[in-house]
Amino acid sequence: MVAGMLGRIIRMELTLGWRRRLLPAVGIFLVLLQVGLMLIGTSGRGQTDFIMLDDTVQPPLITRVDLATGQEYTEVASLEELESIPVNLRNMRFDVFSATFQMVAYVSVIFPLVLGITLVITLADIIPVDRQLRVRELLEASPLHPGLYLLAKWLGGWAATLPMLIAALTALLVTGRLILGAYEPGLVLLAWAGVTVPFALLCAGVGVLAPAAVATRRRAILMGALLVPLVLFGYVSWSVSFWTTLTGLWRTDSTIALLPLSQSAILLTAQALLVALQIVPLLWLAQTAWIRLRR
Amino acid sequence: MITIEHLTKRYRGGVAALDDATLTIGSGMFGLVGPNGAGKTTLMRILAGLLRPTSGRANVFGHDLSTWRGRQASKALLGYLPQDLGLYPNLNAIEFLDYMAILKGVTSASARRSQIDDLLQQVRLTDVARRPLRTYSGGMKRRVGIAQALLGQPRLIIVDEPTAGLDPEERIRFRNLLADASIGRTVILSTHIIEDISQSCNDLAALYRGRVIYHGPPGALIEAARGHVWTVTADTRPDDGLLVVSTLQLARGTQYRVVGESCTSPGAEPGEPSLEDGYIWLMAQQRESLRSGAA
Amino acid sequence: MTALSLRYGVRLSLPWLAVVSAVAIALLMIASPDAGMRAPTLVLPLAMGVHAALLFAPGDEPSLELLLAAPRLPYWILLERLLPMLALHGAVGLAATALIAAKGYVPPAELIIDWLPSALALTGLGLLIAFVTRRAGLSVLVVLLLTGGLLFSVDSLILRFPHVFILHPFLTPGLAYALGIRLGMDGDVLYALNRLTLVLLALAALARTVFGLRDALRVLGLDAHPFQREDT
Repeated sequence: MVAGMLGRIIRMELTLGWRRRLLPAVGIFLVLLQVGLMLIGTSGRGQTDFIMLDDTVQPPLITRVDLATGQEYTEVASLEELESIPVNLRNMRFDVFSATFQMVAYVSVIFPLVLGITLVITLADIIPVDRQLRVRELLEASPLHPGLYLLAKWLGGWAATLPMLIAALTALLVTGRLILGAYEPGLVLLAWAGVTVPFALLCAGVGVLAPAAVATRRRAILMGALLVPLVLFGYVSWSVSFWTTLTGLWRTDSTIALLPLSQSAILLTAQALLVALQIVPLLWLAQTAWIRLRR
Repeated sequence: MITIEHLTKRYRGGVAALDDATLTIGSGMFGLVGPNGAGKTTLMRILAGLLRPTSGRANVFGHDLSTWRGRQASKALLGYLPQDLGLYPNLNAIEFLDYMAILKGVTSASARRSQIDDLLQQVRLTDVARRPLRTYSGGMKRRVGIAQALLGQPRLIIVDEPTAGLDPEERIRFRNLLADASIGRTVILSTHIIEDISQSCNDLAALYRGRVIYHGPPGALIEAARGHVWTVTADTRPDDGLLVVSTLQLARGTQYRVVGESCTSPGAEPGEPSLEDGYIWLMAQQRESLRSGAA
Repeated sequence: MTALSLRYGVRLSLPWLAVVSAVAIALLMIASPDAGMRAPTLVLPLAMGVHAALLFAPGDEPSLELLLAAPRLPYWILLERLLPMLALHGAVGLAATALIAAKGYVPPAELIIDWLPSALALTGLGLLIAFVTRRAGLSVLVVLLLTGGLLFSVDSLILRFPHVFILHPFLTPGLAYALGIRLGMDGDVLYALNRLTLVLLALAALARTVFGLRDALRVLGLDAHPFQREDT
């Protein structure tokens, strides 16, 4: 019965979020912003003609691309070339790796920064608006447990943002393919599932629950705006693990292939996020207790 | 004098909230009745200078409301209490009224103070005047609302559903306040509570689907229902196209007060019509004529 | 009716947000002396844009109908809230400018020209979006994302599309000089054009908002575009 109630409230929150037209508007804005950032970020970047070094054959072969014509050609690698290319960059297409790396960076680092701000502000007034519209009284007069109400608001708010996250991801994937070329989609989706989606859950939790006791929408949005730096600070802290794993180790003579290295970096960040997610149940407990005290 | 000639207001999508309405309103209390969606609030908003009519003319004390200048000029003569009254929660009653007085052009601080003190006494809020408005009950908020409507000695006072949600004593107090305010002024009272009209208005109009279907004194509306009101004591609800206005459980059975064209129920006794009966009969006739017109 | 009530304007305009700007500027100046030199430019546009977004959103205004039914022209509502906001943040900006100038790095006039036009532009943007969408939340979000995004990426955008310099909120004289070489124009002229454009954008946004207030139907949300519709 509790699960049924929870499901129904979450569904209602989804409907409300989209009927308010705010979420589609925000979704469109996010898509445009992401595409814009990607266009800007890839602008002016120098291209390399190096594609792949195959050292599994004798003699080792190097594949390059003629930047003017786009034609690929293979030739025997010189000793200098062999020495200049690190072991963990051999035997794979560098252009694919580079594109994948950039896509993963966008999905795991840049997009979550944008997402953090968006979710915390957009969802900040979800509970105060019930009070303002005088629906809160009806809900409090029902047998609905305050903890369940808060939980449903959090999960409903997060669920309502999923369509726009998916739209932004689709836009990213398509734009990335057009601008950056071929990349490993599996890794990008892993980054999405392991980093972006849980981060959205965390931001939705902070955005919905922290201002839950605030009386008016305006104050709730203000609180959301003031929470943004905290959320971003938190994100930067644990995303450092992503960067150090990915770039720090890469500079050594490690023989770990870079794609699995990216995987482990994503999983490490995801683990850190799961730890950080524990903030949300604490907030939930605090707000539930506060509501019960006030009744 | 307020004159309305062939006033029409259409919203986006072609919805006609007012349809060719014509009225003349003199001084004193004027009642405006009608079902939900009849156009009462739209008419009030046009007279308050908030909305521009789509066609037709509305004139408030010589000011043409179809021009911007006319609307601005009429606002200087207006006291307005909307249906959904919003108050700034962090201001107290004195501050809120002070602010509203400034908006109405009462620039002298001493004049404002004197008016506010007087009005707070009239609405009996002097003792709580320094408490923040968010701590006020619904009835107290309504009293603040009527007080701000009376600021600046307006010639026209428009009150939209002023007694909704008030207890009987509050309602009577409100009515008396409005009746006192109507001396030398025009007060337009829109309400669903017919008793408020019967106790205080010397003229009234009924709207139905944007059209004026009745304009005249309450007495004439009551007389129109004479011969169409009965009381019937029966075990089952009377049928034959009769409208049940009230139901009273008695020892000898259930007493129904009904309105209709004729009543063939055994034991039916003609009743003395009230204004409410007159309104019900008017609406019933209107629906019937629409039905027969459609057929 | 021209009665301006600054007293209530201040009460209803969240004046304490200027304290948040002051604290943010102070922290930035302490944490990073280099970034601190541009602290007013980095903080004030964002702070003022967010503050402006919260000043007047029709959907969030409790006594909107009463305000519109009053004989006082509705644009006074905006002005009596905007003026205290500009004054308070302006005071913070001037104080920071004086502190930085006292260290002898940059003349105060140059510093003011660095932050004031972008602050005004974002103020106009925050005000306009909140008015058009009738929601403060969306305006705050747009201001935050746009400012944050531009802070980190607009220089790269300029490299690709140099003519976009005119809208660059954080353009420096140095970058204007480099752009000038690329475009074959005087860097000072480019900088002046940029600053002027931002101020004009601010005025245009304010004018649009003031003009929009005349249509009470739209302001009340009775004839609303779907994106402006009320929650109820």
